[in-house]
Amino acid sequence: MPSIGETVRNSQIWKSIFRHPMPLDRRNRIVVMLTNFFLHLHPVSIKKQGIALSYTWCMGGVTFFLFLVETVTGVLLMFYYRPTLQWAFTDIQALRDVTSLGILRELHRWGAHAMVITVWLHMYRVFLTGSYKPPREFNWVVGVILLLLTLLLSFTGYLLPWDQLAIWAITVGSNMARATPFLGSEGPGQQLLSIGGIDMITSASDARFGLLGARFVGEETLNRFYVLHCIAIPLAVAMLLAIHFWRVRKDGGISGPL
Amino acid sequence: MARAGKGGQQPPAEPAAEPPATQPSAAKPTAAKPEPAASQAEEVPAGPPKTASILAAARAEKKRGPLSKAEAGLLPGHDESRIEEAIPRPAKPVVPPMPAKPAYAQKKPEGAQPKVDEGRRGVLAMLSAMVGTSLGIGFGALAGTAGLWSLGLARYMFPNILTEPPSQFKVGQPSDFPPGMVDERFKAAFGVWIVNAEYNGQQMIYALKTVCTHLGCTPNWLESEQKFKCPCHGSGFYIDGINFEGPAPRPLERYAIRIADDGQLEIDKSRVFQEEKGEWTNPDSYVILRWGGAAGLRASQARADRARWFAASSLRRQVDRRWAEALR
Repeated sequence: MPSIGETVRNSQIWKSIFRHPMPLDRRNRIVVMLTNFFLHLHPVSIKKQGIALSYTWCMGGVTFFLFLVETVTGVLLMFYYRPTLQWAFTDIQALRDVTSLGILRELHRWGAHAMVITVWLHMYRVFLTGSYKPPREFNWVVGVILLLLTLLLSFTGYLLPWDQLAIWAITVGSNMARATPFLGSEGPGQQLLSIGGIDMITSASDARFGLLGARFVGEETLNRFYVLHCIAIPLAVAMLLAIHFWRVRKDGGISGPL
Repeated sequence: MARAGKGGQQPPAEPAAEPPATQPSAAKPTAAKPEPAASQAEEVPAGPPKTASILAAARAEKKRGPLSKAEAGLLPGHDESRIEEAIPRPAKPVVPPMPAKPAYAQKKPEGAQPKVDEGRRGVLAMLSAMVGTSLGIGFGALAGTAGLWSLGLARYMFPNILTEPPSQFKVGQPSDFPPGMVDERFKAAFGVWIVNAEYNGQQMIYALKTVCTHLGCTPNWLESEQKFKCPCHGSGFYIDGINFEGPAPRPLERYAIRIADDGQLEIDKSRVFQEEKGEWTNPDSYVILRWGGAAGLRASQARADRARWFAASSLRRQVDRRWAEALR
């Protein structure tokens, strides 16, 4: 008389979900690692020094974990936040009472601070272990771009609470864009981009305007930063992360020789 | 055990190596095991496995792969020397001979190359490949489309409509601003101070932009100390807007100001005058009241109009030329 477990495991539904036997012996462990969508992101086996904390510090892994934490908490915050002049500040304050734990907004903020710290430590570790040397130079470049995108995520997210700290920080930070060479309305070479005597780069059409969506930090800026923070930059980060991990794998695995 | 030693696909009764069978019907594999093991014991010395053993293996519930050294080592009754044997290696496949090279892959004889200048031929060949072949056309179309899309994306980020408060607004009669006064009534809503003070020996009314020239914060007017002081980094400006302390690199900026038709002062925020560029001499950046009342208003309006006309006229150029000659 087969047990319930055996009946279930023999059913067609089970077999359509789990195509291979349980990973209890070496062959099946390999097979499952190779054919599962989530597990195949990891190699089947790694070298022992790959998990040596004194070699890797695990900062890359921690940064990725924090990115996932930020994504999850960020999506949850989006259920209760409205990016308008009327509601932005109030909604952030209300998150403390509206959500059951009351610290979801804080978790997101602390995670952001922690992610910036760990991404710098990861960069420092890669430098100290020489993991940027040929043929890994381009992966270092991808990593630097990821660092810049992390900092941009922090910058755009900082505005969303719409308090005094946020507005003035973004005002001062974006004022710098006015001085961009050629593309800033008050930068050097601004007149070079003029057609028929009409300036192409004015305060309403320069790099700063493209960032803010207006000539000063206002409702358009709030909306633009909201879209950048929640969708545009995370998508770019996800794509670059995939490339970053792929290259680590192809170059011999984490903390591995070539 | 002998069967394990032969590297059987299903080592029998291995409680140490395997957790309790989660596969269904532990009875079945044990029944099937003796068959393949037995048939393997017959044939192991050489040759491909017999059909019977393959079928028996396929029928078995558990699909086992090769044993690792660790697993072989865990089998009861193992000894080190048999571990190598315990690892099954696939039989070397029979490789058919290599087919003969086709004609296009044959090495060309040395003297067969045409005598043409390699550089020019290369460029021509590349260009013809780019526009001649369908591959070139396809990728060219893709590159063109991607370029156009990028340009469209850049244009998309700059909206055609700006929602801003109107840049021109009236602030009241000039008599509402007595000499020496810095009016803060319009600071919060419009970002401007209306100041009636002396500059370059002249009493005038001008409109200062409330943006610190250091990093963009809003300074405060300190009446008792008669200076504008920025709370962010301590930049200080005199009543005329000239910077004198702190990190501000240049004076506060002025907005265009004029007397409108109804006699009120009208500010135009779309025009800005910077002292360091010498723009504060432009009569559009200030209003001078030499007399009070309606007569004074008309007089200032007339004076402003005349100054504006003169600045733009050819008469000014003649005067400048005459002065330049006289001073030479």
